[in-house]
Amino acid sequence: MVSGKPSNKKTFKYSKNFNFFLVLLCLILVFLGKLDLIAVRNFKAFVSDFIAPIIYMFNKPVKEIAGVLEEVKSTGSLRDENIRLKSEIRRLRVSNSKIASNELELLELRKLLNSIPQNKIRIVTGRALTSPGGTFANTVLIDAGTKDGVKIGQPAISSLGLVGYVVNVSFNSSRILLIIDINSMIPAYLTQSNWPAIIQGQNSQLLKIKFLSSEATLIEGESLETSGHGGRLPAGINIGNVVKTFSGKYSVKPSVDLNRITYISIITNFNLPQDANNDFDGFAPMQKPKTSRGLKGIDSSGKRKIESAED
Amino acid sequence: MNNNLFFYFIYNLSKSIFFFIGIFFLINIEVSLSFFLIFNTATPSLVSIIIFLFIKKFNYILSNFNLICIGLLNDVFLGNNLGLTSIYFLLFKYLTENIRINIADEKHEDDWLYFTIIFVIAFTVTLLINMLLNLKIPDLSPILYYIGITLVSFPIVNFIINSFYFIQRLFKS
Repeated sequence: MVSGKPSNKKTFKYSKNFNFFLVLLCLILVFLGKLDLIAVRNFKAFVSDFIAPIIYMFNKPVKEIAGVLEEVKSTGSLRDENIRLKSEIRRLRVSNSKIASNELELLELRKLLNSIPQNKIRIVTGRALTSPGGTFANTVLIDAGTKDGVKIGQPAISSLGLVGYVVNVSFNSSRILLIIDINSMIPAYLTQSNWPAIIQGQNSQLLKIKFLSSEATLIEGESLETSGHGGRLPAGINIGNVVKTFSGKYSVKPSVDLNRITYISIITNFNLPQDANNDFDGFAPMQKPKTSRGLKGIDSSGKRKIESAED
Repeated sequence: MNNNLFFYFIYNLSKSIFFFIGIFFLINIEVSLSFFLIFNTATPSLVSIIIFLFIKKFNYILSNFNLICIGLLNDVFLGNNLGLTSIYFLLFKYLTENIRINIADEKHEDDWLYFTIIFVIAFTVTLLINMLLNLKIPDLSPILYYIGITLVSFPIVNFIINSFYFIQRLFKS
């Protein structure tokens, strides 16, 4: 059908079959895309690279308007905010002095124990070009790519905690799958009780707690951190806090406000399992050796078994 | 004769390109709307409203190729599975065209109702495909919010377009 040409019943009938053929073609494309073929990934990376500056150009004014509106809204509560911030500063000063003395003590103890020092993380920070506005996917495009040392699978963080991990990378930009996405599963542990669990996204503002032991008791407000199990993410990154929903179920509220995220940092010196030279065996229990399958009356070497008379 | 055909082709091509750029611009606005507090959970599908109004009201059919390209761009934009939005757009176009041809509604009084039916059907099909691909059921609250906010946005967008149309006619007269 030619664009702009008003359709009638006859042409509509002819275009019906063609329309279904196109839908079928798109369906095949969807399933091919799900297979994560290199060609599809490269195509996505190329297009992302191409449209990244255009997206930024369009997003910038809307973002500014939204920012101004929020600032106008917050002027009403400036006095209360000021009082709250003053008390927060007082509290932070006290905790700061405590932390400084604790840090000194920690360093001395580490020296005594001769423990292995932790590697310093190297990060690359990029500006978020899009916002997570999709219904089916929650991803963010940032302006840091392979030229900055970003690779697929590397964790993305912000000053408040975990944001997600890189799923697609091109020369100038990379796409980050947010922790709230339905395809995101993060191995974590409860910081107070030390119970491990898996935190899964639900395409909503809250995260689901899965595979938590029935013995574990959840406390409202308890924080969760990455456990590092599986070797995909480094341990100790803040994820969020446990909250009780209206239905009485426990969920996790991410510590990072993902809708207002402006800058995202990628940990670039974290060795992923596929990158590491040493073979990573994982944390799965050892599998039992497979029993050899053979024909009845014939042993594994192919010889006939001598059966007893009773059998 | 050949000259006329050539100009007709050029005219349609320029129209297609104009629409493609227009819809691309609209997708950008749609995505960036999520910076506003009210659209944090989901943004309204402005593209669906525009496609519906152009087919139903202005009798203007977007080409399938255009819709597929816009869908693919939208998928790359949002990080969806490639082709998912194209399916949605094609289904949406087919259903809207079907209603336009088979149901006589000269005054466009039931447009909101038809839009609701078409939007819900096309979106449900896409949602089912997405669920089949992920083998997971997503949280329904953002999906319902998305449907709700799109249906609420329809009369607003319709009113804005009508106003533009009215002003244009006023200037012409």
